[in-house]
Amino acid sequence: MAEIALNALHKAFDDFVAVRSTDLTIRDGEFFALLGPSGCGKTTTLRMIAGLEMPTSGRILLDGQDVTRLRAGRRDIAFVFQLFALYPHLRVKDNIAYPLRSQGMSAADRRQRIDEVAAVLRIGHLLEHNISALAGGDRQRVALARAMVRRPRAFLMDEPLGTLDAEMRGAMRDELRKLHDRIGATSVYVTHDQVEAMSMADRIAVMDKGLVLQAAPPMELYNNPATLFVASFVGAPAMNFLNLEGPLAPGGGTARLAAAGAPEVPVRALPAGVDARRIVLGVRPEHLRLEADGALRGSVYATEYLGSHRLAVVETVAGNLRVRVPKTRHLAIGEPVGVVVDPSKTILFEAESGRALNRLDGTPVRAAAPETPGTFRREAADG
Amino acid sequence: MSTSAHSIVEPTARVKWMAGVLVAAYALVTLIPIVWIVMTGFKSPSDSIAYPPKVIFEPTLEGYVNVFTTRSRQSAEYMAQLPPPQTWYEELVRERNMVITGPSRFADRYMNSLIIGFGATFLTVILGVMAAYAFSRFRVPLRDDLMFFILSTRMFPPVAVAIPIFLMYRELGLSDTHLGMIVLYTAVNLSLAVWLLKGFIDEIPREYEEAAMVDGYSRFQAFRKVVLPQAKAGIAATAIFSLIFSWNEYNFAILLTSGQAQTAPPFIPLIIGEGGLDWPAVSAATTLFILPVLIFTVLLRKHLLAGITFGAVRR
Repeated sequence: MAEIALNALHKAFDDFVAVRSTDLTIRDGEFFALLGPSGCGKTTTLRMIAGLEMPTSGRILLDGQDVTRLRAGRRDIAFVFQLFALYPHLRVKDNIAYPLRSQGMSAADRRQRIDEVAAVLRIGHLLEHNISALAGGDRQRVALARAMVRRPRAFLMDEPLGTLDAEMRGAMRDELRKLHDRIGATSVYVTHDQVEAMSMADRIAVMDKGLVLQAAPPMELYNNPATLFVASFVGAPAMNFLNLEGPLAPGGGTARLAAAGAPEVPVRALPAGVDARRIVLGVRPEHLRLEADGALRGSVYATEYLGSHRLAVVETVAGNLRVRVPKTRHLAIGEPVGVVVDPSKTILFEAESGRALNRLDGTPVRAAAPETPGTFRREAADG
Repeated sequence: MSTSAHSIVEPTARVKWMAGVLVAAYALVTLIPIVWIVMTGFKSPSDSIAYPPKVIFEPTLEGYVNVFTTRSRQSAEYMAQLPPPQTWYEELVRERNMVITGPSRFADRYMNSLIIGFGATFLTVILGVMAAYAFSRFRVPLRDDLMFFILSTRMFPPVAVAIPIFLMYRELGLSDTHLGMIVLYTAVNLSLAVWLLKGFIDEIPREYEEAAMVDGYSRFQAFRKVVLPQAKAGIAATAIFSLIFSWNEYNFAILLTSGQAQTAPPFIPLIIGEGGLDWPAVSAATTLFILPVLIFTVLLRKHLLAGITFGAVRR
């Protein structure tokens, strides 16, 4: 059980900066997800916490103890690899026993520990098998067992469900979360799949280009994304973005969409001290309505029936918009429709920096100091 | 045009039969000299040089006895007054009016070959696997250039540097020493070993060692307990290639060794009997000389063929 703190953690490979001076605190017992596209630095961050990668600068604290220069094996952290990395030349039980051997534990104690984790993960019947004889889900359980058997201070998982098929992934997701609640050890989970992160994690850090853009609980990320990138990455289907033609009046009112022949849409008030010339309006599909007399005219481009509701893609002069409509609403392809934007459900972004200017409830977002964890610093990313 | 369906991957019975005949014919051609050597080892000196060559002959162990002994011819009177022979080989020698005066130097030369051959192989594999691991896993500065440099040492025949090495060895006092020959053969084999082993180690996912390192092992322990077992096939192949070279090497052996560290290859062709070369003894020595490499290869064959299994990693 441990709190993991990253202080100005920085990692560069020659010219390429993988992780840019990151501050992050992962609380004791938290299930924390690092979410981002490939190459965003999430795996490098995880590997630095594990001790498999040496940071270029910055510090890593485990419960306040500086482990930055400590060998991986001395950090008492377990790592679950995407490809499981089970030793093919050993049997299941020898794989699980491997971390215990390094501690010089007696055979009887090892036996007991193995039986314990095997019971938790329901792999008792597989202990004598060879690794190659196991199916994907079972290999995953064995990999977890090998991580758990040592009772480490923290679990690090690098896309552990990435190689499983969809059905197994869903089942393992629930299983992993249950396991976490039962053990209560700090877990850091790397994934590029926002559904995985949203469904399992207590908090998520969204990363892009080596930067943590926002670290927040799933609902906060979804409702109040800190940047354009977070808004577009989190949520399926993705948020709609409309470029506004500025400058916007500070008090709100209406603004014209930045497209030839586009109508005006109502917008909320801007916070003070913002460059009002280039603003992007973001709105989730469920906050758009299709109405016969909606000001933003368009035609139905495609519809997706998703069981509980229907998703309509509407082609407008301002681009394609995704609108969530009731499943009973029938729409013909090409049917002319009007889209209504509810200003109270929108988030305005500064186009230049990508920074969100307000929260969903309308309160303004202040430009945060760069040293605060989980804040957005696009300027650095461009440098 | 034939209309019958045929598989493009599965050979027909006729093709299989022809392939079988070709392989058998090739095996026969390559085996004839070896079979002839083994046969000659069991011939008497006169049978060995008989013309036309004898395929059917009365086998004798004279060649083998001659390889291991030095003998001298004695007069009939002297032979008559000797006590009866104690052993079968004494008896064999006396039939030709000779007595055994002592052991030959063959056993020493054979031992030298074993020490130098296996010593160089051992050193090649140890150094090769560590260098290959480093090149495979670490960010070695100028890695590609260094790998090319290592390969470039194979771009000329080793004998091309025989004279510099001869002079160097004389200065360093390494001429005609076991250590000198082991170092030399290791140096020649190492380039091939590093390239071969790097290929094998590149194929082993890093996650294996990383998992072990996170689980409390040092990098060296992870290397020894996780990487080495998985690189078995590569190590076996490297060891065989290295042993075959060191075991058979003739040019350097004849140049750099004469007494103390002389290996079997320069020694065998010079086994002199009565009236020139003692062909049965030469053949007997050659037969014995082939055996270790043969046994070594057969022992490691399974690892060679087994290849590497990545059972736990889905690719």
